[in-house]
Amino acid sequence: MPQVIEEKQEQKEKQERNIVVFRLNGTPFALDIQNVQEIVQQSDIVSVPGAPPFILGIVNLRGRIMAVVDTKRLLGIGETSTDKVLVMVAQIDERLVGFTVDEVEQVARIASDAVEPVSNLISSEETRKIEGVLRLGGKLVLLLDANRLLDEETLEAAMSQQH
Amino acid sequence: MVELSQDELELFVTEAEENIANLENGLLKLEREGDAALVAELFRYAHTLKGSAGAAGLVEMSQLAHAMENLLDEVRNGKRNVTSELVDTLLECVDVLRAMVLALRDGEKQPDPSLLVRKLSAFSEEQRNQSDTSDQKVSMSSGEICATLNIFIKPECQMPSARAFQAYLIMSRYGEITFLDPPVSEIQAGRAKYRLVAQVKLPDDNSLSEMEQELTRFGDLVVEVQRQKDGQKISEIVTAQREVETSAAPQAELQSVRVSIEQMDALLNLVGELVIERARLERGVRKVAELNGNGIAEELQGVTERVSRIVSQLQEALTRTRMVPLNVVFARFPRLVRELARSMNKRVQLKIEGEDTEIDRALVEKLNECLVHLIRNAIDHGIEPPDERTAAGKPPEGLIEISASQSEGSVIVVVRDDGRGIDPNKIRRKAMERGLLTEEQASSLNDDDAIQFIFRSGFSTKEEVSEVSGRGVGMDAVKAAMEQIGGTIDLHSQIGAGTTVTLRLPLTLAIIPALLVRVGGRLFALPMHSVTEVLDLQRSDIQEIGTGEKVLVLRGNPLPLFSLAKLLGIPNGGTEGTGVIVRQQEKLIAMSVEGVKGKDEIVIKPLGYPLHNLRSFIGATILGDGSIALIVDLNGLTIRR
Repeated sequence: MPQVIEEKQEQKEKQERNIVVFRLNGTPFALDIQNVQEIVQQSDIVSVPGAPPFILGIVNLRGRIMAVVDTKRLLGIGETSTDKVLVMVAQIDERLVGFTVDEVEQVARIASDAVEPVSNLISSEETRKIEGVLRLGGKLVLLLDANRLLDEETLEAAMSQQH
Repeated sequence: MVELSQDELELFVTEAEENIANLENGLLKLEREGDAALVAELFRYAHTLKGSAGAAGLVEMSQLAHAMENLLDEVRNGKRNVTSELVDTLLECVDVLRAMVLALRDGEKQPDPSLLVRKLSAFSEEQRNQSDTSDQKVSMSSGEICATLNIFIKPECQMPSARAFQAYLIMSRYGEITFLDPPVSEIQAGRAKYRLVAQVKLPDDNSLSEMEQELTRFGDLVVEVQRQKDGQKISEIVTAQREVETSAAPQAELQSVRVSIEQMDALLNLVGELVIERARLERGVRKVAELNGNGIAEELQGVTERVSRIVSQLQEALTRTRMVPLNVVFARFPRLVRELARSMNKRVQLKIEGEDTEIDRALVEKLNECLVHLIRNAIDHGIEPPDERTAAGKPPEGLIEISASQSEGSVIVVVRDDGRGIDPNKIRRKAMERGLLTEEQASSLNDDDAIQFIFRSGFSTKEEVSEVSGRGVGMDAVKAAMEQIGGTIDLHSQIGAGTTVTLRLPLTLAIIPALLVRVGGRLFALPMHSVTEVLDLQRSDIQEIGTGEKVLVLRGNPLPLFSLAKLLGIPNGGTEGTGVIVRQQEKLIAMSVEGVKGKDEIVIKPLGYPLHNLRSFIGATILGDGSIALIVDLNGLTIRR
């Protein structure tokens, strides 16, 4: 009964998801693979005068201009050095935005219910950007919420800090 | 209701919109110069609309068109005079018809026209009682027959569209055409090819054979007549006919396709990339030529040249596809002028010229905004009331002329009125009241320069605030809108004789000429339309004023001098030895840069999220070597020391 098998697979897929695990300052973070288009090495990032401080600059991604975010600055955990960086190209609502990462560890398949909500241990501004936390190979991984990483609220907060 | 396929729906909507627009324009003309030919033309539009709506199963739309047709028929037969009231009522129908078509296109609920239909028949009724007439042309009589005609135009026919139109005229003389494919509008647009399908309601068999004879008299027409069986519904036949047509006509018959703007932009982007790669290719080939003097380099150069040419042509052709005729903007103005003039008790005639001039679709909205504003100003502030005009020895009816043309990569739109003109003394007074000018300055200012003060924000000279022009937004808003799309505005006025406003805007927004300058050790692009001059600062007269502010004296004019690096907030990367004079708002300012690399045609690419709101840059462009240059928005740049 091939139909039954398909149905079962579909159910199974619903309960599982793929995530890309990467490191920033040694700490593991993750993003749902649905939001990740590719990972590219970028050496010529052009800074944009007047842009929010967490924007490293813009790059030429095969003829398209894409903004690159200094993920560490965005998350408030340091700063990325500019010369040569690894950029994770994320697709958020049809928009392409690059996020700097130190290294990409793996693509992992996890059970959807393995993601637990974050506790109040972290401040609210940071929790907003985090979908949840999960345990992978004995380590805690923070799963980032792609839709909130760069939403209007984040931008406004960043701009008000600047002025 | 007949279920229409998406294609049929689109076809119907396009056709109906065209007929409605023709009706509207015709009605506006009718009020002015009501001649018999025009009434007949209007009757035909209503009639065609009735037919196609009926065929599409849109009973209510068909009824409304029919009611209009009846009224127009009465005008045609001389039973009714053209009055403003009649035109008003018919224009109201046009609005409802348009709303119905829009609702149909968007799959929304149809507005109910029954009230209007009743109003129209009451209109008709009232007239009929007065004139007591019994003959009504568009009614069914017992001997009436219906025939379907398949008319083939032989390939040797030199002008198939003209022939098709002749056939259409003949058929409409003999009877009522209830269906025609291609529709009249298509035929008139020269898009009839080899076949015409018509359904004609005729008074009797005799007229059918006469009509057939007259049609076959043209040697290059083959006519097939099929008399309709009794009891068969017209709509059934029409639908069947349409199906036959659709299956019979090959796809290649389609003359145009709809492409979304996003798709167009994607294509344009690809071509933009191709342009960039072309530059790289050319450079590579030059290098090969330097290294290797024999045949290979020459051959490569030949190929590169051809590829370059093709890329240029491709770029041009694609940019063309984004162009639309200015008619899309101008078409709404006759109605606007009529309504505004009436509300202000003025008489205004509108003349439009050059509506075929093409413009980038992306500019349409802003241009429309500006023109609507200028028209309002002309009617409100410019054109005098009829008695005042007569007293001044002018014809009681004012004139507004809008003309468009293309020259040297720009589109020029001129709006001219023959009204009272702008009084430079009023402007001087106002500018003094506002503290913009001292009395001394005001008196030394020539008239032309004084008038330019109306471009200052918040400047308005009409004493009382009228409902139409309102307060606050004025010429400054028009100027800002024009600058946003890289255009300029020029105004001349002669008191008593009228005002002329000239708008100059770029043909396209996607590719612009730009000056590449070096700032902070890297390249930035400045749109050429803002740049007026480039000069060597070492040889220029630069003076320092007390607080370290610099002034460049250019041919006797002192211009403030800024460092572009400082304005952008970046450290400079060397001696700023070159000056660029740019236009910012209405003033000229000088900017110092580290050098100029040259002029180039650049493709504007959006900075993308989350940098889309940055005011200092229009976007970025990718240069020949693959590097990025930000394009400075000279109007968005904040000027500070």
